[in-house]
Amino acid sequence: MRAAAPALTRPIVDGGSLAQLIADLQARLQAVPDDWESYASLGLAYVQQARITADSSYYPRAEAALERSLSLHASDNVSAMIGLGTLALARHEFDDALAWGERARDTNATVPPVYGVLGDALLELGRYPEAFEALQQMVDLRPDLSSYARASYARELQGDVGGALAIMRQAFQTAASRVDIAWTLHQLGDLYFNSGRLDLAEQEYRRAIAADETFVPAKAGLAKVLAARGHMDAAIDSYAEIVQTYPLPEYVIALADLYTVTGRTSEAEDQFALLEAEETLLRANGVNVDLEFALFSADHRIDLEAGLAAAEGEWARRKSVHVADALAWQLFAHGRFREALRMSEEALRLGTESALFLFHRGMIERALGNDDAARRDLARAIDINPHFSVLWAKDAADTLSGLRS
Amino acid sequence: MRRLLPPVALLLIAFGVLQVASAPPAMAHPLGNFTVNRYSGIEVSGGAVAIRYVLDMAEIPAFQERSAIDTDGDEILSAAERGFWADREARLILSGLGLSVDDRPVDLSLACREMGLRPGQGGLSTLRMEAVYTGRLPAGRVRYVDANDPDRLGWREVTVRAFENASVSDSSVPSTSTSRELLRYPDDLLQSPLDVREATFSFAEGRTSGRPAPEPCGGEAALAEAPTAGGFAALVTWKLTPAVLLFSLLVAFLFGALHALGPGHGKTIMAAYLVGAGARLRHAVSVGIAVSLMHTASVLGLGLIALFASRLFPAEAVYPWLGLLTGAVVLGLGSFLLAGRLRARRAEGGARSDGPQSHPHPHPHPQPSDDAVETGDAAGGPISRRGLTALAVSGGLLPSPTALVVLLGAVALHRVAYGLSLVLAFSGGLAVALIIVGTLAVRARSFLSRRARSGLAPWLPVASAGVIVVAGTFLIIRATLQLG
Repeated sequence: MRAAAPALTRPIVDGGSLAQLIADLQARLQAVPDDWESYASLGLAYVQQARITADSSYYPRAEAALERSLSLHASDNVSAMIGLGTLALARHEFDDALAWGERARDTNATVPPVYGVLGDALLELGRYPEAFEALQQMVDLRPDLSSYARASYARELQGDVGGALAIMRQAFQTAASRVDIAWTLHQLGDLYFNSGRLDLAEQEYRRAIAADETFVPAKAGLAKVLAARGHMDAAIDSYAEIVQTYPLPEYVIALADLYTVTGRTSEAEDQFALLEAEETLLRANGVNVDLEFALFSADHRIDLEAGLAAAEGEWARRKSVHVADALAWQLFAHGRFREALRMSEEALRLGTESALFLFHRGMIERALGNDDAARRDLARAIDINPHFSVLWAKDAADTLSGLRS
Repeated sequence: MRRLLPPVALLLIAFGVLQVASAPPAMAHPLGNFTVNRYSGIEVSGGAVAIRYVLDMAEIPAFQERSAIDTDGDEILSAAERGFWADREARLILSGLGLSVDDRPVDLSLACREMGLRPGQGGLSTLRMEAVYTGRLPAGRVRYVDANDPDRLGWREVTVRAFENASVSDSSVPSTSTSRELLRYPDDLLQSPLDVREATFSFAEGRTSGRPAPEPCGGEAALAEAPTAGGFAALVTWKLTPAVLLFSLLVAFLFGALHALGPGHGKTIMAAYLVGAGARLRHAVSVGIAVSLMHTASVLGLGLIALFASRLFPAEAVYPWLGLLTGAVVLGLGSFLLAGRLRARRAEGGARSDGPQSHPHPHPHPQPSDDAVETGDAAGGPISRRGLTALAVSGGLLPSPTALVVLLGAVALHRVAYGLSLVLAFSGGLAVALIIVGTLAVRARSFLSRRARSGLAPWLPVASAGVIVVAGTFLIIRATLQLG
């Protein structure tokens, strides 16, 4: 689910292994217990740890470390503010993240990561012009991996995949640590995959694994390529292995989808139950997962009432294209096609070249009887990426050939 | 996602039923919801090694295991299913352990294992399993590696301790566990999980009189019997045909008999009592039957508790209390017998020294009594009703965990009648074995009496009462340790 929270998954801490960094900071703080800067760094590292491992119980620890830093040194503590902003982003509390970003900018407007927090929050809130401006400021201040990666995502959102690829390659040039190299290669792989170029995607994923053999997202990327090529059993084996060690919701969903399309219903249900447990834990640790839940619910026609409520609630809070798309897909599932189409237009308002968004709009248009528009959108979706979804790619092709005959 | 609630809710109820009531309210796993944590406590003594292995799974991995545990797919984790899972997991872990002395591998075998679920965050459970592996350990440079699940996140810890007749030097790991064997993780913002997967140390058999090594498997009640539970408990899942039924009843009978011959089942006490009381064969028979009736009642009672009231009285918490009660009854019986028989001895001895005018005491009664049976009991006469009850309690109150697992497993599989039959057959085996032991005791007594008519025989009742007192004290201490 790269599109949902893109720049967020990038390692914030550059260089060295995170575990080593955490150990160093802990040792430092045991020797110097009132070192507020180390507490801020530790908090940020814990956020990072939670993201890498999907272990949301690190969030409360991160919060405690960051608050400790703030209480040791309240004025001009930009590091802690950035940390708390990053934590809020990770918990999908985008208003809070924006507030921390603004507070950090008011404290010191020359620190590049301030604009990272601001830009990410504004992107998620759907305030794109301001977001792009903040990200541009970040690149101007310091053209490095963090700023390039965000700039690349901004291009991708606006439908400029070529530009996104070019900037991501620049980002790759600045990557120094193994995990950063692996991460940027994996991002390149995703950009290729989302534009239907399987061979290139596979190549980048393999290079990512060569750079860091423990980099799980790239292994998941390879599994995705396997599924796109129709090697379902091999893809299932790969995902099952990943889920056994790193049961992140996105991998669990991918595995559940594969079980679903291959008719292994009871195994799919096991994964659904696991997902439910993870959702419970995420909520218990203060993470809002309404967007992910809404999309999942619409995809699998599970608990649609709650799914629609989640999507509507999220849309009331923020107007991002991803929320608009999830709400459109939910409304479609409820047969409310006119409202669905309006939301679908919102989802595509930036001109994003997303096969999934276009597929959703095409299905909605067909339901409304706008066959020409439906044909155009579905054809475009398949043209961008014929393997855009394990669940829906075949439906898209079948519906399109039905419309053409 | 929420439409899936019913099966999940059922599962949670099942988890809840099996939970320990005294556990703290839902807490997040202290090391994070995704962790699988492993501890190996290596204990060496004499030429032997025992590895106490603890596996602690946080909410998500425990949840991922549930379909492996729930083999019949009814969303309920029955005691039998948990037993099978623990057996398999314990053997799986063993295959990932490496122990060598001077590069020669040491064979380890599973001695016992136990698993339990505890309430975790978000209404989910965490899972804890303990297994003990034992082996022979020659002196030399020892290397231990735990290669299980290398990629999974979690706390990994190894300790090495030397006990009686052993010395350990140059150890790469400490002798005590920072996490108290994964029970208390350091709650410190500045502490990262330990990641120790191997240990090296030099081991020599010493003459030091260090502390004796703890029993590898502790109290029988605390740990289910690994080698037998698999075989016997497996019976309840078999497809039933008349032949299978007959066979399984026979096997249950044999397991009951074996159980009676295992350690600590009132066998010693019964033998001592029968010897001291000058009992006859029919007494041995009635004691055997009484013990087996008590055992049956106890299994059924505890089974009911486990099924309906385990929130209030979890079976694992009831066990030590039953042990304590057993000990108290045995100690009471022993003290009563000892006091009575000592008085009787003194009275007899006094009568003799009083000279010829003192008429020989026809019965060894110290004083007249309104209950002939009762006084006969205290003085070493035939068996009393109260003594019989005390014996039944001492031998049968503490039910075999295996029998309990079988009963609960059968209930979970909706084979209640079959489970009851198996338990009855088990108790039958128990009775027959005890009767045989009792008979041997009675025979041994008459043999002794004939051989040492004047010397040893008169003290036999007193000595046997002493044995019972000691046994009762031992049972109380053991139960107290389990409670503590």
